[in-house]
This record gives sequence, C-alpha cells and structure tokens, in this order.
Amino acid sequence: MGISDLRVGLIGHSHAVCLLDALGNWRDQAGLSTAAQDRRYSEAFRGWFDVDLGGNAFTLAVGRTSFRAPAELVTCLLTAKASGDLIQSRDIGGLKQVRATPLFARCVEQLRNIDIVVSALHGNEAANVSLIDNHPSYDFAPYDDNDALRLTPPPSQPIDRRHIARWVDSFAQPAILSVTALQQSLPSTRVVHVLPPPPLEDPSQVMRREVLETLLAHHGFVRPSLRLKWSLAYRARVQTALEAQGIQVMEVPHAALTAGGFLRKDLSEGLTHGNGHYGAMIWEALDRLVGSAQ
Amino acid sequence: MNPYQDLPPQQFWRTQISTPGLSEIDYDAGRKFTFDISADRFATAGSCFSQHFGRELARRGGRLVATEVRHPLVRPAPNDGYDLFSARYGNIYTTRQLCELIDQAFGLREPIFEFAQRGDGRWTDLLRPRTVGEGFTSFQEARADRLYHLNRVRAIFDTATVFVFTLGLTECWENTEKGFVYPLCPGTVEGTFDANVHRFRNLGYEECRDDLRNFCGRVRSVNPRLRVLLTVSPVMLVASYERRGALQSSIASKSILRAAADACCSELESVDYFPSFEIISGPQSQGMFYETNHRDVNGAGVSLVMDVFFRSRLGLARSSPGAPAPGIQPGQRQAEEAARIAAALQAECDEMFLDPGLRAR
Repeated sequence: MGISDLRVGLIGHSHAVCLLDALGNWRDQAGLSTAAQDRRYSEAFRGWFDVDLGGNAFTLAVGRTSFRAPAELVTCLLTAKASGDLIQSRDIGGLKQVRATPLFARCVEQLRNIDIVVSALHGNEAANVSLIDNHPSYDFAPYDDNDALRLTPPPSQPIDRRHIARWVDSFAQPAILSVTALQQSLPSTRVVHVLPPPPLEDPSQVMRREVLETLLAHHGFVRPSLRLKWSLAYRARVQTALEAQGIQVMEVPHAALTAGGFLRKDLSEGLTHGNGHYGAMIWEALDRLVGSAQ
Repeated sequence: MNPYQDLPPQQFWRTQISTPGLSEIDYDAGRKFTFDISADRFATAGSCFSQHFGRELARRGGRLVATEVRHPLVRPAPNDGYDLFSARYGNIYTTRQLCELIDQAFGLREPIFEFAQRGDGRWTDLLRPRTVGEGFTSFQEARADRLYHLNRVRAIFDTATVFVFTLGLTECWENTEKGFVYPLCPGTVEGTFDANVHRFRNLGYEECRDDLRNFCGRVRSVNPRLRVLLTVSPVMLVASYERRGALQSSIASKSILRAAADACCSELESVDYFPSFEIISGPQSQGMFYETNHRDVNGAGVSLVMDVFFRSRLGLARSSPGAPAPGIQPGQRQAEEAARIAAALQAECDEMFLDPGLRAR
C-alpha cells in the first residue's frame, strides 16, 4: 500500500505550496489564480497576500504524475492573508493553556474521515533571524570539538546554546503546538508533519526577496553556515517535540541536499521554500514512509 | 627667603586640608591632565571600586568604551558580567592580573585556558569566576568565549583615549605550573585548591611598578594617544594570607600600590593619579566614609570621590544631572543615591568570598 491508496489531506502555510505544485494546477481550484501578482514573490505565491481562503478546504483531483501521489487531496491552505492564528495560548494561574481558534477548528472539521493528514504548518518563524544580518557578529557556541559546522573566530561572539535554545524554542512553538493540536483533534488519523527545507547556500541570486527585501538590502544575508545552524536547530527542536508525542515527522530528503547540507538550488523557490520538484521528492518520501509502516 | 615661600596654598596641609570645609578641599591638586567629557572615550578596569567610574561616567553623559556587550540574542541574567567594565573581565585586583590579561589580548603570550567544571555540569573560567555567572555549556564554549573576550580586550585600545585603572590588591594566588595569577584563590568560589600547584604571592613594590610600566608601554605602543589614570581603591582587604593582621596587610598593600602608582606618574607623562584612596581614608575624613565594618566605603564616600573627579577632571558641577523628582528633597535624593551606590558596592565585591564568615551570610 502506498500513498495513492489512501485518503490524504494537506494542511499548511506557505511550505504546502511546493507539495501542491508537484501535483499540477491547483490555483484555479483554490481561487488564487486570478489574484494580482505581488512583484516581491514568484508566480508560485500568486495571491498569497491577497486572498484569505477562510479555512475552507478544496479538493484536488490529482492527475497523472511521475511519482506515486494521492489520487485526491483535501487541502486546507492558510495563506498569508488568512485571518488569525490557529492556536491561542495564555497563562492561567501559571499554567499554559492552549486552545484551537475557530479557524483551526474549521480546518480540522474538513479533514475528518481521512487516512493521513500531511502538515506543512508554519516553518518560517526563524527566517528573519537566520537570513538578515542585522545583529553584531555571532555564532553558536560549540558543544564539543566534533561540531560539524566550524565556529567563526573572534570578533564573532559565541552565543551559549542556552540562549540559542530559547530563541529556537520560541520559533518552534507555533509548529509544535499547532501540529499537536491537529493530532489531538484527529486522534484516529495519522498526522505526518513535513519539516521546512534547509536554506540555500547562496541566496544572493534570488531576485524576489519576499517581505525581507528592504531589510536584506540594508543588512545583507547572514553567512551560510549560521543560516544552516538556525535551520538545523529549528528542525531538530520541532522533530524532537513532535516525535515525543508519537507524531511522525518527514525529514528533508537526503537527495535534496548539497554536500554541505543546503537545499539544492534547482529545488528552491524564492529564499526559503522548495519548488514543485522538491514537493515531488517529499511525496515520494511520504509514499515510502507510508509503505514502510505497513 | 626659602623654597617654600612661594608655593601655592594646596601644597600646605593647613591651606589644603585644615582650613576649607570637606567639600571645598582641592583633593586633586597637582593633576597632570583633565578630560573632555564629550571628546574623550573612557575605558575602566580594576577592583570593585572602579565600577563606579564607569557607572557614574555614563550617568553624567560621559562616553564609555564598551567592546564586549551583551548580544541582542542574549537575555540579561544576574552576574552576567556585562555593563560593569569596558570588557567582561570582572574585577582585576592586581597589577599582575592586568599585565597577564593584556599580554594574552595582545598575543604576547598564549591564551590561558583555566576552567573548572561546576556541580551543575557547567564550566567556569577561573580567571573571571564570578563574571560569567551562568558559566558555559562546555569546555569548548568556555575556550571560545575566552578567545572572544581577549579579542574584545584588545579592541578597547583601538578607541579609548583614557584608561582608568583602580589598583586593589597586592596579594594573589599563582599557578606555579602555568605561570599566571588568579583573581581569586581557587577553591573559594570555583575550582579546587591544590597546594602543589597554587602558591600564595604578595607582589612587592618593584613588581607592581614594573607591571604598571609594562602595561603602559604595551597599550601605548598600539594607542599613543591613550592616557592612563591610576587610582588606588580605598576598600580594605577582606582577608590576608600574610601572617599578620588584615589591617597591617591592608595598609602595606595600599602603600605599595600607592608608591607604584606614584613612580609611574613621575616617570611617564601619559600616566596620572587620582586620589580616591586619600579622599576616603585620609585623616580629614575621620573615617566617616567607611561602613561600620571599617572596610567598605559607604555611598557618601563614593559620591564624594565621584564629585571630586567630575569637578576636577571634567569641569562638571557636583550635582547630578536632572532636577529632583517632585516631593523629593535634595538631602533625600543624596541619601537615596548613597544607598544605591552602597548596594552596588556590596553586590559586586567578590573578594568577600575569601572570608567564610561573610560567605555564609
């Protein structure tokens, strides 16, 4: 049994776009194709900032693909225009209380009676700190002599991992809480969370710099090794937290990486996303994951 | 006719000290140079008393050199060692500690990696054991941070025009194997005392003088504009390892440091002395600027020292900037200020760790 034999749902923010692009034309169905093109973004994100899908799912009948794909995909896409958060948390008597918002509840309702829900929720929370070089020079302090990514020498300041962990935790919380709430809302459904791709090694050639255009023009890019460290730390934090709750996590396919661990340029879309080819690799990996679990 | 006839009034005890009121005394008579608060850039180092120079300078609009500051990604924590001095070296009590730090920072000797693992698994740099309160996650991080620290110490001398150093102690403990001194005896705060390696040392006059000479030579070689202002801390020793009373050791120590500072001022045009020690401990003060333990300087004493400094060296009026808050009387404000300074003194003088009686409190 593979992914094509299952009823599959998809819920996600911008990292869901590559998964949809891998399956063919979906924008008509989502109502995004007629929206104006924001010049900061590539065609892949047409309408992303203008259209609020309101938590309404659309069903995509998937045509012929070169890889094993779901026959039909129920998709709940949360564009940048989507109104409101998925999760609200507040402190009550010193305890953190988390609850789903009406938007999230609406999405979840449409994903019932599905075998497997693929989550591409969040994933860009560390984008600002990991891309924009607007801090005094720093690096992650080394754990030991075996750190694969070398420490940048002074005057770069080594930052204790405790402080890094606090930041990573704050970036990872939205994904951890949302995916946890998703699994708890759909207890009999298998949820697989797809981690965002690693950064490009050289993003300087990316012309469409999304909402970061002005800041990047002013400050420039963080150096590659540090961008990768943030990405690795974020992905590890989300993966550890979700797996601890029994939620499966889809790692970045090894074939999508350069020798240095960055995203291959031919698989990228803009500064932080994968493209349709990358999405196809994710579907292939999901198919293997589903198959191996039988 | 005799050589004393034409001397200015401040060179006579009667006219400098006996006649004027305490606040009118020209304590700083004979100063070599003054500073420009808007143009000069001050770096500070030394014992706990010297922290007030930096704090007050900043409060009164002075330009402080700060080359090692809390990174925006780092959340402030108690005893994190930032905002005390120009770099995160913590208290530098002895001339030898200063010289060894500068030698490391200038690449004249190998960096000293002397770390100890704490009970909680984190690591402490024994050359600044209380400065990085939360310690380091790993030995490698402690090592990386020390290299960064030395880089930042070196950077002080790229921009500073004045280096204020408060001499504190002559007594120290050295590592005989590796040839360096500690700011605090190993085992008192962190680390383990090893009688085979750790040896008591009390620096003599020549050693202190030579250390100061060496320091001045090194820093002036990279920054010829730099002027050095020496001062001796009036805070007495918490404990002495010499077989004599803490009082005798305190006076011996301060005398040696004062003499070494005097020698350097006489020899070197770029070095001057500011009389913090004399203002607080001179007989004219009748001990009123010491706390009831007769060791720590009280807030009023610190205020007076700072007022004299700003008036004499920066030409600033003694009052603090800003009008008193409504309903607060000037006297009340002064008392609050004194209390604030006294609290800061108490909190940051880590030499107290030498006395088990104080430590237990």
